[in-house]
Amino acid sequence: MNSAQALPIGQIRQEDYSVISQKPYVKSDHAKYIEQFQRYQDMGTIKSAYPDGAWSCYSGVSKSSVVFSFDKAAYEAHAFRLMEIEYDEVEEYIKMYALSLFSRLVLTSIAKQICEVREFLVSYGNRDYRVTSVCKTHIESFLTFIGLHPQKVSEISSTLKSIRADEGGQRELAHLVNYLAIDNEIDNLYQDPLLIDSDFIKWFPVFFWTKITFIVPLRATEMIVTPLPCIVRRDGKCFLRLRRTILKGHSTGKVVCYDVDRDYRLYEYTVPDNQTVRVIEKYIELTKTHPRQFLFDFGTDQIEELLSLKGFNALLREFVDTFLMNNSRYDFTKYCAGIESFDYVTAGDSRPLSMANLFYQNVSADICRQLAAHMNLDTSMHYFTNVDATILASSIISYQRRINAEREDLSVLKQAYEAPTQIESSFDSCMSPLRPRETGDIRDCGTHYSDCFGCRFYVPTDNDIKDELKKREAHLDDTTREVVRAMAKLSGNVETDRDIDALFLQAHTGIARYKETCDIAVEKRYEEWQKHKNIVTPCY
Amino acid sequence: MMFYIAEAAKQVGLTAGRIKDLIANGVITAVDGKIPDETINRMMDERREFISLLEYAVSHSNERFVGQAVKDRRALVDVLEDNGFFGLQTLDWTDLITGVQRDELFFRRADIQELDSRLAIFFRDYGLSPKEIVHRNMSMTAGREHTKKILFAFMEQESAERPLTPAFAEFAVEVLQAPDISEMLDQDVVDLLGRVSTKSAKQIAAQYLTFAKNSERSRPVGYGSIIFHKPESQSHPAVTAYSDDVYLGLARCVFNSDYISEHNLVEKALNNHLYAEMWLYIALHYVCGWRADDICNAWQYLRLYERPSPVADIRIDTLADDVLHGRISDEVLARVCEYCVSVLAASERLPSKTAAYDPLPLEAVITPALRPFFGLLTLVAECHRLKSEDGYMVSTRRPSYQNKVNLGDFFGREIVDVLQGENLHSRRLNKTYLQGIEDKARQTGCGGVLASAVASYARNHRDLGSIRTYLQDHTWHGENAETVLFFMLDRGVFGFEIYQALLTGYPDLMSKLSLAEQNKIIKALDVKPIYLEQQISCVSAANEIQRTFTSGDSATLQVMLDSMFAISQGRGQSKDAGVGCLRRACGLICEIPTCESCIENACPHTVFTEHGYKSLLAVLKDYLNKAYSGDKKAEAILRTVLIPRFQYEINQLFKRNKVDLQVRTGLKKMLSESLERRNAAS
Repeated sequence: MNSAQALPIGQIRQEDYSVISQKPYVKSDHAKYIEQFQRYQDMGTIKSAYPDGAWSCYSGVSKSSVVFSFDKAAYEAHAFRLMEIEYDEVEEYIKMYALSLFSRLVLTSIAKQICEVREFLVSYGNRDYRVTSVCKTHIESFLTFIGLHPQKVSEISSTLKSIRADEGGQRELAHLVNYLAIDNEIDNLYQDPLLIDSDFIKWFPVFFWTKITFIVPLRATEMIVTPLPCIVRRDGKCFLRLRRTILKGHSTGKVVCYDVDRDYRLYEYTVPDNQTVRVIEKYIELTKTHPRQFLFDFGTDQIEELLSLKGFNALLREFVDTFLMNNSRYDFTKYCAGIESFDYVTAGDSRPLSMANLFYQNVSADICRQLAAHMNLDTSMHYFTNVDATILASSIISYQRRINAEREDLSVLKQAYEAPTQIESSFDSCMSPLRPRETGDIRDCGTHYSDCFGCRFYVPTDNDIKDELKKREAHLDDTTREVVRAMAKLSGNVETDRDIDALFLQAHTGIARYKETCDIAVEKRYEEWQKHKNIVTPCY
Repeated sequence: MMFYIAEAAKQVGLTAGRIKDLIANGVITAVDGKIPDETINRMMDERREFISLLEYAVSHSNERFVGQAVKDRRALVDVLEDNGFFGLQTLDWTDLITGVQRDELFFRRADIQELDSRLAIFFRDYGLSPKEIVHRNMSMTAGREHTKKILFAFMEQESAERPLTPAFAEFAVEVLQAPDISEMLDQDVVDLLGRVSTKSAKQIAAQYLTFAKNSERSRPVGYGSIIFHKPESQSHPAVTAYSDDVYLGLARCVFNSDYISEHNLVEKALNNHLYAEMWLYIALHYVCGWRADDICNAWQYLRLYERPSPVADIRIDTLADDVLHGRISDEVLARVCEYCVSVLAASERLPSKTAAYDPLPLEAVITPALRPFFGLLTLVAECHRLKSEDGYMVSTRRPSYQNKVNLGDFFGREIVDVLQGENLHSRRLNKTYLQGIEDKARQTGCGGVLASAVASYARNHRDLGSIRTYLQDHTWHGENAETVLFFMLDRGVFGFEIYQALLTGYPDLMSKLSLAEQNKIIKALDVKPIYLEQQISCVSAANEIQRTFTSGDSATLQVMLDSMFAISQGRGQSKDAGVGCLRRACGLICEIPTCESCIENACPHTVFTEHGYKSLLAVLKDYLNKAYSGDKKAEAILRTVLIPRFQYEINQLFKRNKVDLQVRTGLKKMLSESLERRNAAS
């Protein structure tokens, strides 16, 4: 690939700003456009000849085809009446328009816009022809480019019927248990000493997807361009190298270079030297005979020189089919989650999941933003709200929410009954003439056997209320301990919930006790300060 | 030939005093009070050839530009320096024998015409407000009627929102030199933006061009859109928060009672209004996250100079003495502070920068311990205000409050050492304060986003996004994106499952631990998220069964028991493949493979026995215990309600699922054993 960088046509780029021309195309500019085409050809971005009906393009990562040809008869029956431009001329206009989009947009977006324009030319006026608002903007932009009067453009635009876009909505994730099961199977697979090399290599992209992108909020397109080698050891530390795109966020002023080294920035993150790193290194070692630019060995059947997203999603699907579907080990998991069967998931699901993972570990909002490579916090916030439904499917989150709600209620009640307001009474707080506590006659108790609060015969004293609050607190503690017990039961290293308490005490001994000591010291100092009062009278 | 000083001065065109100064400084020599004619000739040549900046400035004085004033000359030098002295030759005052320090530099007289033409606009517009400059330039510009019309409308719109800045004047002057807006092309836009020097002037120009484009849609303009390239997000901002050491060191100088008495700060503050204002200004940075301007303008005083004291026990006539000798009690001082804070709250004063966006008023949180301190500083301010116009903080004096020399003079050498010889930076103090707030919020149980929102609230930001620059370089918990990522990777995939479980189990403790300590525990536990997920859903189901059984919600209970029973009744070979086996779900093999049926043998790893049936028994056991302790009501409930209900539910389950005899026997045994054990324990 040529190292020269082409600027978009009509863009005057200065150091700190760009002026983007909105001038329509004029025939005198033809040579300029041809020159631009030549430049992209030299760079290796456009692989076809100018007169071709479709240009085969390469972005340094993937191949795209920008198609210009369209049905002449359909055009003459539809948009021709409106534009009164001959077919050949329109095709030429589309090519010029496409060239004006180069370096401004990525290739897939250019191909999509041109496709929308072609669709407009052959379908305008059809009863069922509908466009999204974004598509409408693209068509307006094309019509302006070819020199139609703004008023005429507005007229045409106003006659286009709208349809709500599918895209732009929130990504619907599968139930959390799908991802948990994939992670579990990947663990089992790569911990299996009998795993053969071919399977090791085959399923490695899924391993990387799970172990890295479920934690680092990488975009799917960023994952597939992970550099080779991606693990670097330096000064006794281990670093993971990842590519992050620089075209996202405020991309309007940015120039697309169609070069992976310039459209992405290389980041190095310090990572723990653990099993994940060793698996990645082993994979690199096993596949070193295949020279390539990116981490994933794309094999011989790939058209592009990398594992495409489509290819990865197919692999993921195969993984789900092979390891999850019809695996009776997960029947109970599915039962717990209330799902009939596992879903097929896709590469892009990992980013919102990793954002949720960070969010639910109380990582500061700005650190989430930085790791997600977002320009502003609001975009990151969008992710948190997006995955809420999926994460709520997590039983521990819903359990915790329930406990928190109970704890909050209890603290409100406690506050309300902090100071005794009622006169102590030696009488039974149950005013039922049947005196159920003494006689065991529960006819007045209705259906509220376990809880007397709210009963018309029940007039609790302060002590009753306090007892009840204590009882509820004890119950809440017991509910909380259930989680600790469950963890102890599952833990590979501790046997009882007491052992977990001990772990906390050990951790607590270090910094937390130090903090406590500091707090005590500060408190003493404060008392001293109070004694001397805030201001000491100067001496004379 | 020799000349007396007076004669020489007359010839050269300088004052006699200046000639004497030159002799005294050894620049020229005099013999017997006379100066040689060669020296005089040299001086005359210099005077003929060169003109000093001072002389030039004085000769161009007008009603606003005063050449003798240092301030005005500085402005002139700034313009000259910005423009590289227009490429003209200059000489330093030390290069000429006639030069003195006030001359600063010299130009060739031959260049005066060039300088005049280059500086004509400067002398003409100097001292005018931006609006006056624009109006003057508009009236002096011929043609460009469309531009003038649009510019006027744009200026009206801008000035209605905020005061016009010098950048606006700079932009306006240039836009009036550019082609008329109706004829402007892309290259003209580039030329225009190239001519304005400051970034803000460029941005105003871009806003103006967009305004022009939108204001007359029927007459399309010939230029495209302007996009400013946003710098990429920086991982480390240029202005960082103060480190803990600096922040605490400053706090010691400002708040510490020993330090205050050692350095006689109260007395010094009473003697100098600037010190009093400076002290209050810095102290307020520790109780609010406001911008410096808001600190100066929003803090409320007692205003004793115009009314009696709103706080009792303050004598205006002896106030300074009372403050100096500590005769005002802490209670009164605290009341002064409380009064100021209450007035601030009641005034609902909005932050100057975001008032248009955010209706939340400014708020300072002063803890009881600090109230006497702020009360005292307020009274010191009042002492000054009673004597003069000064004493209350003024935003224009901000640089003085932050100046290292002033700080050193007042607080002593220590503060200069703490600041490492730098001036105080208000924004850095704000940053540290806001990071502390965020950290505190997280320690008290707020999640990451909520904690950021709390910090954002303290700064009155209009949206959460703005707080990021303040929290980016967190100095309190030492977390940054890289360290957090390291710990997250160390915790493993779906670390949030185990983290949240620990947070549930140890709500007061887990959130107080550092990331490293949390990781230590998580790693020591070694729990697989998927198994935890299963286990917790079982615990939830068990709780739900108890609730439905106690409340008598038979329909729900039956559904739950049925489905648990259905997935748990493994038998023979299918036992090991049973979906209700909690061991198998964790990838483990059966512990009691010789037993034929799971339920019949009351296996503790089967969902039905462990979480369904056992939960029902737990309710019975609970009431049984109460009954044994003498609670007649509990006994009656157990006898008349729960046992019949239990029998009914279990019989229904047996009927619906056609449970065989062995299983029934197994469950009966479990029931009797379970209750008996409890009886024995009781």
